[in-house]
Amino acid sequence: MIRDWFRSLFSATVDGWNRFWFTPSHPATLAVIRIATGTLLFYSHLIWALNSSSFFGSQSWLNEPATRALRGEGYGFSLLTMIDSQPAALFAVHALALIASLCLAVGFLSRAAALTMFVLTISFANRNPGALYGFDQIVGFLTMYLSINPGHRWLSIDAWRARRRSLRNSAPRLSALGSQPTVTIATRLIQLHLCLLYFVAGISKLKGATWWSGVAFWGAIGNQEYQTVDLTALVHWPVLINLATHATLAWEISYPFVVWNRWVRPFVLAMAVAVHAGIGVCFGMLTFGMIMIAANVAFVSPTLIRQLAGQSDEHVERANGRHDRVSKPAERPRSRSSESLHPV
Amino acid sequence: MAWARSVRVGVSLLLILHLIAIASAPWAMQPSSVLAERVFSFFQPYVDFAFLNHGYHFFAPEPGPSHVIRYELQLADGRLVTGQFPDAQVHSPRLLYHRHFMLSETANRLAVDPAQQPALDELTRSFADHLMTNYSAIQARLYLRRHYIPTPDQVADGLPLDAPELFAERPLGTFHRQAGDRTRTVPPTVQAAVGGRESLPPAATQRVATQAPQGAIR
Repeated sequence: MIRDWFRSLFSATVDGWNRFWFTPSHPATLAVIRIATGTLLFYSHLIWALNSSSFFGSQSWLNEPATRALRGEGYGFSLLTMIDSQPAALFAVHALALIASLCLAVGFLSRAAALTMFVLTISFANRNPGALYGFDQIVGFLTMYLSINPGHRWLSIDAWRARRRSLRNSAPRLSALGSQPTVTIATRLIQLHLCLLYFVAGISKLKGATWWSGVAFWGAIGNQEYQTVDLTALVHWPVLINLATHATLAWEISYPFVVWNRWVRPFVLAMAVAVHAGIGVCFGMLTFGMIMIAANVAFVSPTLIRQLAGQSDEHVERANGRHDRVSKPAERPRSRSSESLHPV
Repeated sequence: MAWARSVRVGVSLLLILHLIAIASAPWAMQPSSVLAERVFSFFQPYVDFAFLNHGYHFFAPEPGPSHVIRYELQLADGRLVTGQFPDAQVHSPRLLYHRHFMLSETANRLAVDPAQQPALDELTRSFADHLMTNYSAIQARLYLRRHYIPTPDQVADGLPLDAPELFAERPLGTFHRQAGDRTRTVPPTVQAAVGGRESLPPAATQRVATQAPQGAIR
């Protein structure tokens, strides 16, 4: 009997694992993340490029010895260190970063663009480890996961080209619609990475007295170097400061446990938007706020995204299906596979 | 198309290893267990290489004071240039400001840890080099300036966020350069350069400071 129980447990675990990671999903969710990541990377690299000599030149804020001292004995690498701050090579790297991030946003040669941006994100970060913040960490793992599948088969030039090719060849190209296991894997990795990030961010705050006394939120409001909107009037409503502090902490710690529940998820994601938009607008970290909101899109169903974009499954099939005569039953249930990203 | 079982098993193993790797980085942050450190050291080459070595301790354990680097540059013609980074008036747009802000916060992170003194030395020398090159200066004095956060009660009583008593400074060093020279630090004749309500950690007195800054606060 005990053996049967373990056998059932093992079987259920394997089934659940396979369903969680390998059920093909529609790429709409990843496509939105790709577009946001590419756009924000383009902006970030534009700022780097316009201030190249200050951050990457031979007389930059961090010269080579300082960079080495900051990086320590790690295993990080940087293409920028290899080119030794030569102006022409630096210009080429900036140009490559701008082009690749733009390609990622519009979905042109998407996978190559994602991989290029992953390598360049690492390279820029390791060349200038003193000027990094949360934004760089997030785009680091997003570009890594988008390299697995950049959601390039929806809302992209790649998808448009594939469709044109299939129309020209009259070939059955249902795969152009893009439901693939790699879409699920990339989305799941973003979801789990977010869960880890929020959980660690939450429990690490438990060591701080102000998170318990409810005034930690004041630490952001009263910090003039961060402040872009003056919220100090809240000092007359201390209960609101307490509420914001406790709600932020409770949300971060509970995130990995409750975000999987379909009924609670909208509230969890609404809180994510509120927190990150608030950080972006009030505390001057708009790029960080936006990339965090983009990452949270990983928990939005592709079906919902397509509906918001004015597409239904039938609409998409009609748009692509004039030559998509293939209708193998195994490849059809896209709406089910889309929902499979949110199994609870 | 469903993947073959062997592919799924192989990919599953890679996924499990990846997930343990990314969790090991915050897990091994100090204070940490021997187990956490051993697991992390196993995965460190991977997480370092893939830029996944992050603690994710945002605003933890609690939001603290912020830091800027204040500088005084002496030009060859005797003029004095003063400034700071980050400076919202100079560093715009906001992302550029934030990049400079992280430079000064990095200096503080090193400054509070005596074991990081060599790295702080390199960092401040690099800052000085950059400033002296940009302004064609012959001398640079750098100060780490801490901006404390007032309590809600203080602000309710009318204390502005930029009140002088909310600032404290620690000299980071004085650096000289002549044509063709690498920046060098002036021999350590120590004077605590303190403004505001308290000085920064005592390690400040081990560093170089030739004189207390004039009008150091504000």
